[in-house]
Amino acid sequence: MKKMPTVWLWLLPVVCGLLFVALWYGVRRWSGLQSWILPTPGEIVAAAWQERARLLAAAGDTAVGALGGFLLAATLGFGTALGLGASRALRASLWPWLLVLQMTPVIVLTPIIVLWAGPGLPGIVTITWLISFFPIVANMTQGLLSTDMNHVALFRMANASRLQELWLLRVPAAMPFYLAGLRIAATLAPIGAIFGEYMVGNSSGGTGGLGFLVYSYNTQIKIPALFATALTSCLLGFIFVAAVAWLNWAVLHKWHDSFERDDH
Amino acid sequence: MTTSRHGSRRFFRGISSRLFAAGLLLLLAGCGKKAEAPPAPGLVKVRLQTDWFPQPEHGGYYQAVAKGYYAAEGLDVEILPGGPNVQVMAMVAMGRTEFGMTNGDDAIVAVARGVPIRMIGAEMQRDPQGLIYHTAHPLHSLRDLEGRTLMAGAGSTWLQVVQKKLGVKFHQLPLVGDMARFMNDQTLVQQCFVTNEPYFAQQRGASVGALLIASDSYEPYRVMLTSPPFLAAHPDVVAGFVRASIRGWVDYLTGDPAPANRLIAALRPDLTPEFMAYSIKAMNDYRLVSGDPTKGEFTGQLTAARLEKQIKLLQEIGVLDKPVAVSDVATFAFIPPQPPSP
Repeated sequence: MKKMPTVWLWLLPVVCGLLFVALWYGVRRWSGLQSWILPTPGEIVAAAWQERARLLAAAGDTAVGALGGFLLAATLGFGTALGLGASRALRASLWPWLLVLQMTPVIVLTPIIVLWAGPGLPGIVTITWLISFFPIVANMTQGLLSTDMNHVALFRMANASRLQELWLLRVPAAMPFYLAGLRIAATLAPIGAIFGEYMVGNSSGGTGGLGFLVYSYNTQIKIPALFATALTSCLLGFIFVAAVAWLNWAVLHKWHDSFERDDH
Repeated sequence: MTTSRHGSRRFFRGISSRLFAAGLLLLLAGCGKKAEAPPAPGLVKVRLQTDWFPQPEHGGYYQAVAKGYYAAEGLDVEILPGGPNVQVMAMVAMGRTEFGMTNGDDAIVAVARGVPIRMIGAEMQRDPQGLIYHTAHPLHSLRDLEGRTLMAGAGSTWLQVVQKKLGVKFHQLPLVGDMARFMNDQTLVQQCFVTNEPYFAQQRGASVGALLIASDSYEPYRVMLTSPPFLAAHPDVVAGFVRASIRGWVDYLTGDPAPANRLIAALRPDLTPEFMAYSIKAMNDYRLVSGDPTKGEFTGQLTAARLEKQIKLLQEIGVLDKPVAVSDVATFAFIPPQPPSP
């Protein structure tokens, strides 16, 4: 396939975005809605600028909750997947319950989360973890089970120990899967943290994060500012995704086929 | 790629159990409690869990902290900010906090469900719950709700009172926390705090009024709570807490509220001084805290007669799991005998 010129890769999303913004202005104009129901992108950016100090501080709080939940999910997800990948019995016993955990609406669990973890940051981290845990476990487990049998046979012929087979073969082979799981979790974590702040937040730390601002702006009928929290949350999400994309590159670019390499 | 179920199955055995134990430990560690601030020397450290984000409706407690009223009673009170889904009564019952504050009805319903809590004083003589309406379509009493469309918290006790006791019929929409629909519909009525939403609606140019839900047929307190075991073990601490809180409330509403407002503003940079002034004025205008002196009401007062009436009402509309006695829900030992002088 002929490669698309790089400039197009930058231009296309910009054109798409401009079209969307034009459509937005059009809807606002023809619907006759007021700015406190459907603010225009211009009003949202203006509100974001006006509220920039508060939004930045809140985004910092949300980032802490999101990062806490994400790291907890990344480590526990890794560990759980090692267990699930190792034992078929364990997989059979736990898999349905992991699905149950994922399918349980978090709102049902909020009272118990508040009581056990506590309102504020501990509860927010718990909710973020709950939301981003499953994609990591599911992907990593699949990765461990997908190790190339030829490589496994090679390790066994060379009398590799189980631990060597685990750390030198299976875990590296599962990395692309694990990182794919992290990428999904990275988009979920900031949303999870904002949802957590909305459900169990207590405005601790003076800002309470973006989820708290959603409350605040809603009751104060500052709707352009409300939309600006969404803008801020998207920016935070992009930072998370970019960090994982960088990790993906750092771990995989030397050997994995998803990257262009000189040795091809 | 070939899958290797046999290989993997044989492979990790023995490692998996240890990894699981490690994972579980990590999980438990993640749920650990944060370190408590050390109490000031010579003072008894206690906590007060509030029911929402810090706001002027908690002003009396912050005033008592700021002006040293708690310290004068030998107490170092830490106010724990609340928020959505904060379980004030469960936290009091479990000993996670020594004191809590919430709506008086909710406390009675919780006691009937077996939650061990006890009212120790009133924070407000009347709950600030109200109904916000556009002045083009006013509400003069709860009976005016007949035929109207109302956004209200599903399962609110007062809704059942209006429907079952007054026989008023209305259309109900769920309360979702934004005011956009209300602002856009002149006929809509929305549940609110009279100390809160009307300010923002007026600021956006709407001509609105607010009707306090509390009336002769339904008048819930807002109350201070503790747990029976704490009450039995530390009656002197409870007495000091109630005294200082009432002193804080009187001073916050009749004196200079600036000390408390500074503490609240530090926690809530989104609240403007104008809003806080509005909220305080509404608490005074509706006599939410001080009550009606012509009825013999005063700040902090709880009366057995009114609680009795409240319990009877809740029983009639069927929200109590089992009958409760006034002595199950409240103790009157800490209520000051006369109106405290400001």
